[in-house]
Amino acid sequence: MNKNFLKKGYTILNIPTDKLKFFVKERDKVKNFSRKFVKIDKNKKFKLENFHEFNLKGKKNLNDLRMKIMREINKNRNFQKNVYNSLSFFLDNCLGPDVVTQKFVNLVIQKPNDTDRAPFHKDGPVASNYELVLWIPFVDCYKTMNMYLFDNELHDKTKIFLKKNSSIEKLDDFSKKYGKLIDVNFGQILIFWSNVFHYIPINKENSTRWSLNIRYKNLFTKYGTKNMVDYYKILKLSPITKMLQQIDV
Amino acid sequence: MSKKFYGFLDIVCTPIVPQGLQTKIIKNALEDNNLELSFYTTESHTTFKNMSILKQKLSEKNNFKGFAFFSVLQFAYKDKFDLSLLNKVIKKYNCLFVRENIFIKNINDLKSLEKELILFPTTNYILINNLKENFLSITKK
Repeated sequence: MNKNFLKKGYTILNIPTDKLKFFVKERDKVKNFSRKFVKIDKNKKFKLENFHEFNLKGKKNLNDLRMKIMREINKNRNFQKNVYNSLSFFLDNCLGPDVVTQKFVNLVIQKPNDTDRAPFHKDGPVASNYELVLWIPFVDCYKTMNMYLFDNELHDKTKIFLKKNSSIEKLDDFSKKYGKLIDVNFGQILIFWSNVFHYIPINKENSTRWSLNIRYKNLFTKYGTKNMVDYYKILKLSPITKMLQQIDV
Repeated sequence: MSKKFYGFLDIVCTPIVPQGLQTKIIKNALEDNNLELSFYTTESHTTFKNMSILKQKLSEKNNFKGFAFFSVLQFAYKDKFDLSLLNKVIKKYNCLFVRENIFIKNINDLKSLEKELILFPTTNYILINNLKENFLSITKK
C-alpha cells in the first residue's frame, strides 16, 4: 500500500503508459465536441486550456456544454471500468473484489476567475465513508487550477475551523496556511478518500481547468445518502457474490 | 401509442414525501419523457410488502402504457427484492422509477439491471428498515 496515501488520505498516481491511450481518446472527444459547440473555425488553433478565449454564442451557456459532454461520456458504459482498470494495481488493494461505481461521471469546467465552485467540504459521511474519489484532469493543472487538500492529520482541526468560520477570507487564509495545492498533469490521477477536506480556489491562471470525477467503493461497505441503483452501479463482483446471486439461501 | 402511465406512490415514504408531492414529482418525471400521468394509487399499510394492489392492477385489462413508481424501494419492502413481480410487470408494461431515474422498457433493460436490483435491499438495508419502522410505528394503534 502507498504509505503516502495512508498518511495523507490522498495520492497522485501516473496512468500507466499502456492505459493512457483511452484518456487521450476521451480528452480529444471532449475537445472536438467543445469545438463544435462553440463553433470554432477548423483552421483556428484550439486547446481545452484556451477555452475561455472563445465566447459562447446566443443562448448557449457553459452548463449546457458541460451537460452535453457528460451525456456523451456517459454513453460509454465501460468508461468507469476503463478508468478503474488503469489504476487497478492501487484500487484493488483499497477496495477489494466487490466494487461499485458512480453511475454518471461528472465533468467540471473551471474558467479563469470563475467564482462558481464547490464549497470547502469533504464528501463523507454524506457520501460513504468508504469511498474513493478519482479526480482526472484533461489539462495540465498548476497552482490555483488545483484544489487545496488537507492531510488526514488536519481533519479534526479543519472540522472545528469550519464549524466556527464561514467567511471566504478566513477560508482562503486557512487553506493557504494548512492546505496543499499540488500540481496534477494530464496523464495523472488524483485519488482522495471521501473524508479528506478539500477547497477549490478561484482559478487565477490563464488556463481553463477541465476535470472529471468518479467515485468507487466496496459493494458491501456502509453507504451514505446515495445508494445502489439511484447512484451506484456494479463494477465487478467476487466469485462468492456471483454464486450467492445464483441461489436462494 | 398510449402515452399514459399509471402512478404508484410509495406509501412508506409518505411521512417524508407526502402523497401530493410524490404525485407532482411523478407527473414531472413523466412529462420530461413526453408521457402523461393518467391516474395514481398506492398500497396500504397491510399490502405494501406483498404489493397486492399492484397485483390486482396487473390482473385487470388496462389501456395505459406503463407504471410510474416513486421508487425502487417499493419492491424491496419484503425480505428480498421482488424481481419476479417486476418481471411480470415488464412483460406487459414499461416501468419508470422516478427516485432512481430508471426507465425499464423491456426484459433486456431489466436483465441489465438485475444484479443491482437483487443487491438493492442489502445495500439499502438501513434506509429500508428505518422507513419501515417509522411507517409501521405510525400505523400502529
